[in-house]
Amino acid sequence: MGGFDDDDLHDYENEDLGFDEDALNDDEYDQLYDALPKLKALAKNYQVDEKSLKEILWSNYFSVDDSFKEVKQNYKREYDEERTGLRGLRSEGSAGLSGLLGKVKDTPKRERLRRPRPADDKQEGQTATPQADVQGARETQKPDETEPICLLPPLPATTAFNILTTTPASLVSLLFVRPTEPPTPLPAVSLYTNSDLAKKAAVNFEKPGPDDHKVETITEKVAKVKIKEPKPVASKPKQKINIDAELAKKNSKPNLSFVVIGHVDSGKSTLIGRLLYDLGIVDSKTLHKLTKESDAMGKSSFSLAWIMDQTQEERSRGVTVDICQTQIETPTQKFTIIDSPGHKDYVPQMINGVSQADLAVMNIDANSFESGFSNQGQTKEHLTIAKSLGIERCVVTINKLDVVQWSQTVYDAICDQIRQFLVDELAYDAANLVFVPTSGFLGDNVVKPSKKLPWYTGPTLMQALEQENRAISHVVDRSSPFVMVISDIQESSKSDELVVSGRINSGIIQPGESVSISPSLEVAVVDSISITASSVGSSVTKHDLQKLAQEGEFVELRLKKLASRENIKAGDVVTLSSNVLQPVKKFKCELNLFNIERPLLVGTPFVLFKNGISVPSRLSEIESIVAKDGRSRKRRHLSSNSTAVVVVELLERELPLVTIAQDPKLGRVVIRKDGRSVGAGKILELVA
Amino acid sequence: MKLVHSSFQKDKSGSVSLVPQDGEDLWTLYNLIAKDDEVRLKTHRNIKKSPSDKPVRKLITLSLSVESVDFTPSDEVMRIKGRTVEQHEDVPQGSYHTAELEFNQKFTLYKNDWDDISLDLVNKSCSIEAKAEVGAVVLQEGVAHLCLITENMTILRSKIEKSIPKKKRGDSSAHDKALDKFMETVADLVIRNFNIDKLQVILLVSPGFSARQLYDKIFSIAVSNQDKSLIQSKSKFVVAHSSTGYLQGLEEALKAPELQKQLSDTKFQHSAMLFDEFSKLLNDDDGKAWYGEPEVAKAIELQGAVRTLMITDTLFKSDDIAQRKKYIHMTEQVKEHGGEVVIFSSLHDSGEQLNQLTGIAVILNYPVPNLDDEEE
Repeated sequence: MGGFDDDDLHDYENEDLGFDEDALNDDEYDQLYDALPKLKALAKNYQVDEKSLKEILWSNYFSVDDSFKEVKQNYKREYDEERTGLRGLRSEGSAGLSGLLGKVKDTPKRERLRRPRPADDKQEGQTATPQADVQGARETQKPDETEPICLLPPLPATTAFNILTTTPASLVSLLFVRPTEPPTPLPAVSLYTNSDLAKKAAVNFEKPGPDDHKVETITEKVAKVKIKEPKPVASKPKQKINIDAELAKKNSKPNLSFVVIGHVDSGKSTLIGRLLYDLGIVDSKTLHKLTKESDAMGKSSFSLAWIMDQTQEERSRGVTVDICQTQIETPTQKFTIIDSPGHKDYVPQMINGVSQADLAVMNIDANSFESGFSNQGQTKEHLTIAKSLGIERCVVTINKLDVVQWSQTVYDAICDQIRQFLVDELAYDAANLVFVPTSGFLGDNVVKPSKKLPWYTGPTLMQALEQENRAISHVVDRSSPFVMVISDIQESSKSDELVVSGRINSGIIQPGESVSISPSLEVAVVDSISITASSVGSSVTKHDLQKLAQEGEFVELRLKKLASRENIKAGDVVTLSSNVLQPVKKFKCELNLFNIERPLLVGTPFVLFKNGISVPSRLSEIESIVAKDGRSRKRRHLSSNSTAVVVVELLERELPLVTIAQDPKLGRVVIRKDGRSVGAGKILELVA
Repeated sequence: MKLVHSSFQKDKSGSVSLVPQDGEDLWTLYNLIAKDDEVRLKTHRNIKKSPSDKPVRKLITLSLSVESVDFTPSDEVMRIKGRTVEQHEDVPQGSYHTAELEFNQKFTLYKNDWDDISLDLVNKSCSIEAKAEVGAVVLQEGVAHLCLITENMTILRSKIEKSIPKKKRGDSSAHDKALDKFMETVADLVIRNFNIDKLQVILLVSPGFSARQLYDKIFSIAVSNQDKSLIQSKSKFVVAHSSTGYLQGLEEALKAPELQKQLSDTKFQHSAMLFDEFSKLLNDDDGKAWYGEPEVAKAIELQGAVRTLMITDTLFKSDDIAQRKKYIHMTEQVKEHGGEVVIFSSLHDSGEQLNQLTGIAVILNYPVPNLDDEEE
């Protein structure tokens, strides 16, 4: 017992005794009687006696407000009618179960109110005066188990209704055609109350349950299989909400997702670190700690970058390895920031980042512009990839201007070359390009305007991003099918649950809806949807539960009722279970080749990038080539800068794919070979 | 492979007795044994004396006229299907039988016509020079491939896939933990799966730092297990760079100059380099590289034009003897005029790529444009 002092022992011994009025000292006694009348006044509508109130006050350090909260939580309001109603129920309850069932049917509302609150049972044992009704309330809870039979409309969706609503016909509905049953809960209610359906339900439930099927003929078994075909998962939103209002609320704060790209060591992570720090999302305490750590490793200039570069590998090597995504919220707008690696080995990760963005922020090191802009550098490759993946707007930050003495000449020269490349070679619209001089390390012109750039009159980076956010269309097509590509997976402690995160490509989703995950075609129910973000000026990361999530948002979906979660990988596509995406092994695409050193031959293996995943693939057929001189030749190889219609075969796995016509972003691919991007394609057709 | 006995007649017919020793030998035999050859070997067969008897499994010696040969490189199993050519006390003549070729078991092969290619196959696989065997791990975060590369084959021994959570701003512990576990799994597999004493080199190939991390992991495990032989073979491990962790990263790494020294004189590296040169020439489009049978045939007709003829073993595997003869004739012509002939193994990546590209190609000594023009 040496390790414990008397206090510890005392606490354990008195655990059950709790509050003892006589043991209070004078001070506490005064406080108690000071606070008691106030609390009594507040709590007069609650079924709680004086002694309990005293105890609650004592345990809340005599704070009236806190005590009242506890009262509200643990005790019920007094409703005379309800109590009599329940008493009546209890007496009938003893008469038999059938009588009870009938009664429950009539009083569903009260039943709801009396639903057990978690604290109830515990409180019963602890407080000196358990309510007289607790016993009765418990008895009336028993019929709960039979509720689904009796109560039709107000219940959350249950197995019973699923079988009805997810008929095979709606399951087989065509790719990207919304099921006939709308996702809006309002019309759905009318469906439920439809008398035909109610009859069907009754008929179905008269049939023997699964347990009664032990002895039956084969034909009966076949019939049963048919019924079971739609998986028994809820396909209805959990809650009925006003979708228009919810969407309007979301759209009042539009979200812009941007990826920061650029050659290695141009200062992308530092720039983002600076942005987060100056916006107050990373507090000075955190930065101070990082500064100390980076000093200790002799890399003091990396402290801002370490906000995004978390892993040990990234810190010791001084390069970003993988993308890092973070969401911020200003008073009027929302942003999703994606940091991407610049090293050429990590272009795959950068492609992943670009596929989740609306806008690219191209960061350029003013001090060593040439090395990044050469053919060996990543500046051009990154821009080419961004354009190929459908990014039409670009903010170009000319960074590290402090190193070149804030020279306007340097700035202008770089802007000209980049603009020329973007407009002439990549066919960007000059109106969609914004150029901003910055110093991420010192913080000039990132959030705060710089005094050292008298010749510059344009916006700061943050202002430019706010402008872009306003300029980009945020119109969401509500009728578009729900499609989300999984970018990350976190395991849950339960074996049938999984948290998947990603950006919603199109459509809307609500908790309670059932989804299908391609290519494994696993089925699951969305249990909850949350968005992780930090508000400007606060270093707290919020995880907000959503009633609804829409196109363009970065969400975490908690999936449950998964048969086998091992089959789910990053890069898989989540759709509504009524709109299954069949995976394919081959597809036809229009391929634009970049400047390459080796031709693409029929049979040439390469790595195909598509929305965050890479798959080894090969060129399986060349259908037609438009050669440099314009005439089409029949050949089995493709050379630099040619455009061809080809068939690509995926080598190791099947993938869910959509054509460019179905989704202008998801229908794009980039191919790389031997560490170089060799071409970009648009999926024209899936080959089964 | 061991050559026990050989006898050839003047008409080029004859027989050899061989003892296969490893998977590599089976691949050679797969390419050597053709339809209508005769194979004599010991094999098991279920024999029923009369219809009512229980079948008895017996070891007997049979001579088969070959109809087909199956080979699964990953399982190292080869089956020869054919009909018996002579009467056996338990097996009537002309019965179908499928025999599995076993290691260290002598068998005799009779061919009506031993051409140069076939003789070459036997000579090469029976030479006493040590065969280069290389182990390779191609990896990136979350996926790793363990391969064994022999003279004629690249065999995928195992593939590990693990999803690794992404790093998060403020917390990357889940990522770090999963990555460490992944590296440990791969390192364990390397130690258990590779016969490190037998291998010449073990390549660790990845983009970024993953291969280096794996290297460190393997030897931290070796030290903690006090695995002396593993620590001693530290010099066999070579860390190399590729742009991807998929299998194609292996070929990319093999082309790197720093590995050429270590792997010089290995066939797989030679073919990988040749194919790369061919691709480069093709891209230049100056008429020095051609593929496809008609183009290659025309190039060979220009005596002395061909520097290197590249052809896959699949083309020689043709059941049509005339076809096979035609290809053999081509190789002989090229050799006659001082050209080099390289036979690509279709079990290597380069051979597979050549196969997709008609299976036959040439690099010329000087540009010859318009070999593909059809009007002549």
